Amino acid sequence: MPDTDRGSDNLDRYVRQMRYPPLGEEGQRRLGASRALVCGCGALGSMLANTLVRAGVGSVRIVDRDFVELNNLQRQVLFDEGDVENQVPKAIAAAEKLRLINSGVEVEPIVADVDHTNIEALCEGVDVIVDGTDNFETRFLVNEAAVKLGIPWVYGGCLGAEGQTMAILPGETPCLHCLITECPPPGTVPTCDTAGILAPVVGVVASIQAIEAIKILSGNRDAVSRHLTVIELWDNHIRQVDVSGLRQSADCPTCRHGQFPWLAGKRGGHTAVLCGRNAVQLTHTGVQVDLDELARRLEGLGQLSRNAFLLRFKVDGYELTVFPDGRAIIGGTDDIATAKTLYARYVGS
Amino acid sequence: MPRVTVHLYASLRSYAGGAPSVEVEIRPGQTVEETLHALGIPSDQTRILFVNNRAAATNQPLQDGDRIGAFPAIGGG
Repeated sequence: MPDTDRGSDNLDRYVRQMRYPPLGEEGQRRLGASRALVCGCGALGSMLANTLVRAGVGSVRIVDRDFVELNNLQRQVLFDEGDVENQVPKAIAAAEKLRLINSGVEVEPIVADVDHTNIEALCEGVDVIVDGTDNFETRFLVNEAAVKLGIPWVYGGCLGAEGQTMAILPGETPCLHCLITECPPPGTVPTCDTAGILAPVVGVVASIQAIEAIKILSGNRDAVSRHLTVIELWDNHIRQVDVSGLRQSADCPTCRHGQFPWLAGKRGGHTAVLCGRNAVQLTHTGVQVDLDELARRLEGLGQLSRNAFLLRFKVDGYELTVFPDGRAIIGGTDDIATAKTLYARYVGS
Repeated sequence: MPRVTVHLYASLRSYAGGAPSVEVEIRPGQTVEETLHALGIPSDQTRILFVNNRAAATNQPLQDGDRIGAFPAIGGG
């Protein structure tokens, strides 16, 4: 039997990474005393959680609102067909696997939708947030929480064979709002469900995110990248874009002026279950959806119809009715998390 | 006429027939946004902009020899 002594002083399993001088035993001990929040546990999130738990981060909190589906398995490394069959929430399925991988790490799964009512509680006590979300609304919310609470976080996004990632050290480096001056309105940004996603780019983006998190947690902030990393795997390009001047040039409402409308619930989505209709209504404040553009993105993915006032899209037994002001009625479910997932998947945002 | 080079990344390349960059003539004082519009790129597709490797606003005027970098926002995960 291998010695899997769970004592925090037993660092045997980490000997290979401790041998890397910039980390060393001191860095490993810091990792073991640290806490990370994995926000979203899809493709990026499961890869991130896998890497951080194997690396010996002391405590890993995982929050996700979804269940495992068959079309996740191509790229979401912690899940298997049994999870699909049993409709296991992703956070729970991930935690079960991670505890088998490293029983010395405290894994805390939370099945929840991240919104302005819970984000600060989710961040409580954590030393870094890693981005495993699939939409910009949640990222802008996380960005405000991270800046307000002074918690480093690592943005990551991927689509097709492309990806982007950037580490954010509040008060020191540009935040997400410095980089992207306005949260992309729903329907304007392709999603993995409309544009596809290849697993290798997930691995590249999540690995860069994970090493940045490890630098932060092990006391190596000086080594953290001050660049936006842009990855185009199909065309064999990886670029580093200097963003060091962004904080001065952007005059950012979030990190320069301390305005947090997403945290206050003044921006972002609101939900209501429509009683007796087996439907959920999602409303979004301050957004406009271009229905022509959305129709173009959804073409061929399901049954599509539209008129001057709305777009209707039927897929997998669900019916999404989307209005130009961002409001949507998701028919075929009374589950808010499912409705939000469908909206993020096909409308975006 | 002043000329600038527009470097397009990821999905934005489709606006230049797949080419990674395109050199265009501009009128004096033409902005980043006007230059991208002239290439047929909608404003909402270019969420991250740089001029000469420094972050830029859409209304930044351009000069001869400037290099624009335009990136989409990648939101999947």
